[in-house]
Formats: sequence, C-alpha cells, structure tokens
Amino acid sequence: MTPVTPVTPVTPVTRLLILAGLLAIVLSLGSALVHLVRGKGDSKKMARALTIRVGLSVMLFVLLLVAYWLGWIQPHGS
Amino acid sequence: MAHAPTSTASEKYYVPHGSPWPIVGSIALFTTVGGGALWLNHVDAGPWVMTAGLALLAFMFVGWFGTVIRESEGRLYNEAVDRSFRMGMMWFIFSEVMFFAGFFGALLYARQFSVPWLGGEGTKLMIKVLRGDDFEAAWPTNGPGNIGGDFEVIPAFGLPAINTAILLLSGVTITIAHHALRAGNRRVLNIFLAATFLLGFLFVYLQATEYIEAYTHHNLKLTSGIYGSTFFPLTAFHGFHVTMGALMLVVIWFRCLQGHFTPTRHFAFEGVAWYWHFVDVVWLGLFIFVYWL
Repeated sequence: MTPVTPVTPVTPVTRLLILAGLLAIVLSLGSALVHLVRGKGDSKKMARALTIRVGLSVMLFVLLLVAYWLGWIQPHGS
Repeated sequence: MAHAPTSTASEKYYVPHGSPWPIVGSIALFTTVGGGALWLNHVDAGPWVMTAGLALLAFMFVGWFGTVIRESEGRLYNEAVDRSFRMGMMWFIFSEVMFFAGFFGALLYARQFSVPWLGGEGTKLMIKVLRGDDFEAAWPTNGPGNIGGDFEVIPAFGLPAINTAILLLSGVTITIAHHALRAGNRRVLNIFLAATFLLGFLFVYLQATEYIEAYTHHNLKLTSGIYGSTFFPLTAFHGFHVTMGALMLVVIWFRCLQGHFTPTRHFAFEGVAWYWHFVDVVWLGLFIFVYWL
C-alpha cells in the first residue's frame, strides 16, 4: 500500500519541516495540559508552555508563507 | 468552571443539596434527541420539539454554570473539588482529541488508501478494470463517479490564510491575557480577553462567508464526493468548537469584569484558555492537511 502521489508539489524537506513543527506544537500544548491537570503552583509552567506553543505556531505559519514564496510548496487547487 | 479556595480545610467533596439541574439536563437531552428523531421521521412538530429541547439545554447550562460560579465565589469548594475539575477537564479534552482524530483519520484513510485503491493501485487493479472507467487516483477528488459534479477547492491564499492569521492572533491575545492575569494586571487582562473572543467570532463569520463562496462559486458542497464529505464536517465541527470556545471566553470575560479570579487561583480561566489554544492547534492541522499537504 504505497501512498498516493500528491498532486500538490511539496519538497520532502518542506514536508518534514512542517510535520516537525506541527509535532512540536502538539507537544507543547500537551505539556501545558499536563501542568493544568496537575494543578501545582500558580500556572507559571502552563503559561510558559502555551507561550511556546503560540510562538511555534506563528513560526510555522511564516514557514508556510516563505516556503510558498520560494516555490517549495503549492497549495491544493493552484 | 470554578476556582478552589483554600478556606475549606476539609478534604471531603462538596455535594450540593437539592439541585434541580441534573433532572433539567436529562429532560432537555431527551427532548432534543426525541425532537431530532421526530424530525428524521418527517413529523411536522420535530424541529419545534428539538428547538425547545436545545433552548432548555441552554437554560440548564446557564443555570448550572451560574450555580457553580456562585458556589466557587462563596468559598464552598476545597482541594478535592479542584482536583475533580482538573480531572474532568482532562477527560473532556481526551474525548475532544478522539473526536477530531476520527475526522482526521477519515481524511487520512480516504487519501492514503481508499482513493488509491479506486484508482487501481496494487491488488485493486481488477476493481478498476471491472468498473471500466479512467479514474486516476489524485487529491482533491470526488471519486470515480464525479459525485456532485466538477468542483474547485477553496484556494489557501484566500479566506483560509486570513482565518489562520486571525486565529493565531487570538492565540497571542489570550496568552497576553493569561500573563496579565498572573501579574495582576486586570486592565490588560480584560482588553486582551475581549480581543480574543472578538477575533473568534470574526473567524466564524469569515468561515460562513467561505462556505457561501464554496456553494455559490466553486460548486463545492457537502455532496461533492469524498472531498466534500471530509472538508465540510472537519471545518464545520471546528467552527462549532470555535463558537463554543468564544462563548466560554465571553463568560470568563464577564467574570473577570466582576473581579473573579486571583493571580494564583484561576482554574476556569486556565481551562478555557487551554481549550482556545486547542482549537487553534486543530485549525493549524486542518489548514495544513486540508489546504496544503
């Protein structure tokens, strides 16, 4: 079962960067949830994890725009 | 949604007496689902019964949450209640993650397996031969039968990109509000919390605009084969979550205006803020897998 070849061109490095960024975002969000559930302290660690989450998300969005500008990725239907 | 003060030293769980909300909630759910069943069976009263059930459900939420907030502010809760709220949040999020995993899983399965099989990949070649058409596996697609007719996808560099920027900005504003609450800066907290839910409602409005665009100009509909039937449920359920999250933020905002929460005790704020970050991340995943990869 080999995956279907995507119609939208995307370089392997770009795909890897995007998926790695998404994984890092999910991990920081998960870390914040762990701190929330434990409920120890004054939510400092949770706020810090969420700040990292937001920073990574903005970076990923910028990465998408830059990758498009450099021709490394094309969105569907373009 | 409440914060647990430490004034009650007892570790016994606080149990309210004579609360009407569980039975009101049960009647509301029964009426809603019953109305839905009548509607599906083409009974004229169905939509009205369902609407009445949903109205009763909204009344129950307002009443029950109001009671919990008053109990919390009345210092009736202790550490045991605090733990139960946090556990409740964890299980709620677990169910939410599994909910979206189902939809993302459906998208993955369709793209990686069922569409290639329909295109005759590997041992499935015979299926294509027997079907006798020239369908080639590709994405986006509405399948071999061209179900729903030719369609165009929504370009990523239109409303989807703008909506992504809006939701990311709302992630920044809720983070600023969070830090402001911890620092005891109530003015900044109130301003940035309001900005967050306003951005959330703007997102939902633009999403509705995108749907109208899809239906009227792109012939992209829920009935547009596998693409339409994965695109709309994914984005619409996410939009519903944004709407609910924004409403929760409005409630928290009013509580902040009332002077609720302290820099060290603010579980309700934490829960809603985390939920907002969650819907933000789900959208980011959606934006990438639906519009780009």
